[in-house]
Amino acid sequence: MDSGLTLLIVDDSATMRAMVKRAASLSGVALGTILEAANGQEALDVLGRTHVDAVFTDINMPVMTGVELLKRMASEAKWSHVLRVIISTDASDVRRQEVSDLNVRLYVQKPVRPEAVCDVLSQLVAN
Amino acid sequence: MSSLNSSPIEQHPADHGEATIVDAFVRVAEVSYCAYAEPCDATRLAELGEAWLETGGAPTEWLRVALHFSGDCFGHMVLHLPLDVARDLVSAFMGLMPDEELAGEVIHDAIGEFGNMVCGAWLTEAATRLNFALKPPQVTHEGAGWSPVDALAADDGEGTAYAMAINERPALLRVRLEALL
Repeated sequence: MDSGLTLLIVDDSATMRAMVKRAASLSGVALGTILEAANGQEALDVLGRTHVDAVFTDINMPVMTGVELLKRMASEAKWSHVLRVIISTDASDVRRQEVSDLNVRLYVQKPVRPEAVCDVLSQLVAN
Repeated sequence: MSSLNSSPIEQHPADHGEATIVDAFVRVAEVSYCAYAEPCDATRLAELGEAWLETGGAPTEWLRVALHFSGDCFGHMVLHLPLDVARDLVSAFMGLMPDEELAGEVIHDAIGEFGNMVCGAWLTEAATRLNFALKPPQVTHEGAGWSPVDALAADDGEGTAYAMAINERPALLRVRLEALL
């Protein structure tokens, strides 16, 4: 049985998901399963069937955006425990304001170094 | 909610709007793709292409990355990169060895993400108080004979052009940004 953090990575770029997954795996943080989703709707499907501890999500994605995903998560008490991190190229004032009351723990602007992903995980675990 | 950025975006006092695309390109190349990039002029752009051929490089195949955005501001960014540069960037991005084989769809996805990051970083800086939505990047192969020097000089409606050097190879950025006031 996994005892580490179950992480869900949400991004429409498969290579971006692979980079974040690789960086997370090398972070030294105890990780259980690392799951992936290509958009907000797929992420909700994963959340509906699997216990997830943390979500790293992009903003601009087809089908369902990261903001829409976070709004759906905020509306459901069953996901109140999930740590939420945004990793997105869009770090505009407008977007930050839009997500300010959606329980986002960290907002990371792309481009990111793999080390930044490690730092994010370490911060989440420490807090 | 706190923020975590890898490094601050450089700002030039006179750069506003479209010109900040150069800073975004340089930053994305360095931070996520371990590449050295800098702006250049048409002469340098031509020299980079010729130097490649003189050292035995094959005629350059070009990738075209297009991103459109809409909202309070709208427009597009078009980026041309040599395919060999794209392969190197993708390898660096994914932490692979330089000679590892890469499937075409992997290159397209990762270079699309490169364009996505450049465009997003640019708009975050140039239009931070405006609402914008980036559409997914479109990556295609440019036709044979495409020349960045010719494209730099052409008035083809793609927008303001910026010649770039990335890892000592030529690249071309073109952008158009309009805002609803």
